[in-house]
Amino acid sequence: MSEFQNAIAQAAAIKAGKPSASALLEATLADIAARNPALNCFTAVTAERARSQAQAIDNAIAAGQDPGPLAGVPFAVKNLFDIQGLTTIAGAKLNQGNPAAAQNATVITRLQQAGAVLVGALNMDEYAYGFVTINAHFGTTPNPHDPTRMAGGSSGGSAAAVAAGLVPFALGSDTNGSIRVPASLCGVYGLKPTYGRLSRAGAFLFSSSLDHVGPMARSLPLLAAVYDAMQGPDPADPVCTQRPPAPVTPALTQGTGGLRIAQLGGHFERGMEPLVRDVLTEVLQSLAVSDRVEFPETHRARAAAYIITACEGSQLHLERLRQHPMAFDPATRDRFLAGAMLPAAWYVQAQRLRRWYRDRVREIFQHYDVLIAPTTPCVAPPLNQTTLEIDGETYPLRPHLGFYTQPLSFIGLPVLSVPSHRPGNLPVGIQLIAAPYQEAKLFRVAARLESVGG
Amino acid sequence: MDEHLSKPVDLAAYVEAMATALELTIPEEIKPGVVANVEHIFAIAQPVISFPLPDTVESAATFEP
Repeated sequence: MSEFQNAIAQAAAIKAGKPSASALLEATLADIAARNPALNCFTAVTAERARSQAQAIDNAIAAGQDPGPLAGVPFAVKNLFDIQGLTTIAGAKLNQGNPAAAQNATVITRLQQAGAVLVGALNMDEYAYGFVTINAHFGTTPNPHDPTRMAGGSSGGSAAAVAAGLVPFALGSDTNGSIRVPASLCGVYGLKPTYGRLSRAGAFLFSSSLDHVGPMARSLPLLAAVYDAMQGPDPADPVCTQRPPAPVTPALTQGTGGLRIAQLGGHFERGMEPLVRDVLTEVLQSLAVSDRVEFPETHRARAAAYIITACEGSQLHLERLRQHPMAFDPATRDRFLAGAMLPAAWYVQAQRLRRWYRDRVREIFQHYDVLIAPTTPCVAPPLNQTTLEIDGETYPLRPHLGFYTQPLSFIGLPVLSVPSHRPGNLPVGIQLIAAPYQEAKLFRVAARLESVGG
Repeated sequence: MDEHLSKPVDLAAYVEAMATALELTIPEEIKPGVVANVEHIFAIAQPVISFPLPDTVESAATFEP
């Protein structure tokens, strides 16, 4: 793993020719071939196109050209991103008969322009409808820290591949927590940017009103560099912002002076395991946070996110549900069928509640810059666990994994899940939350936590 | 009190009617699971649909012509 600890330094070394991008790639491909059978992260390895790209980078360096800030850094993507020449399966057997993608997803193109080398596609819950990456068609991706436990989902292959050191960074998508939940359970950084900040063009959507894409990494500077490389308007995504890029890399050295930070209370301080509470307390203490604020009616916000997801996801798959209901993963099929049957008035009410909740939260961000909450209520649960017991209450495990993430993506706030690794314990994530388009503030706080070992 | 349907709904009949309207053919062996999921989401929906919103609050879905 150590060779990837600082992939930015790696990119600098590649630019100096030691090692070559091709040599690093071959080491990466060999590592994937050796360890992926047990880790089950990759559903496709794009060795030949990666070799061509790495050779092009080495050629550019030899010719005295700048191959970009991510020169030679290998990465992989959740298998709902279009990879030119491959069929985009989105975790579904039903998609395997689709034609190959004609072009790359916009974010893949931008990363390649920055010099990063795509090495493959990663496992996920079918059509992104899950928090566990237990997939009836493509198998379970176990947690690299303990293979008897869940990696989280739906971007579980992405988080596990990064945590295991198969790649230094990966891309995922997040509708209700699908980047942040697996980032928390696998112990890596996971960024869900502001809704519309990154182009989703070429990503197989789930619920367009709530879908985001974003990166995961073990290194905070690498996460920042990757995010910066992907920003920018894209006419191919109607949701993508017209705002110019707002790079976060400079924020890493700006400190937290002047930032108003508070704990997010109410809903976000209920129903967590003691270890998660301990980590949260430690983070709040290390940042000298004493204020606590609450978002109103968060249980309704979370429920509204559920309704929007169910309605939009089910409508997207309606024809497939008509033609091939039994070809769906049993874990998603019944939920998709049920979601197709909801009254339209409920969906519209949920969308109106979304605007109401956004307006209330905007008022709170007049007074604070960064809010802090846990990412998941628990560490990675055993693969066969179905309920969670906390403070004498019993919760159904799978939906409860999104308890703290779902109300935040509902209104598109930027959130960075920061990993905490306590010796002898499984990792757990803490969410840093900012007002829309204020990602730089998240990176300022994350850099501060990294510097104090939080 | 505002979190529950005021009258019980025959969800099995509801699923049958909606499946007909949507031209969905649901195999018998999975119908209980679908009905259970409809029941689950009906319960989830109550805090949303029971929440009074001012007439001036528009849907968050936007469209640029």
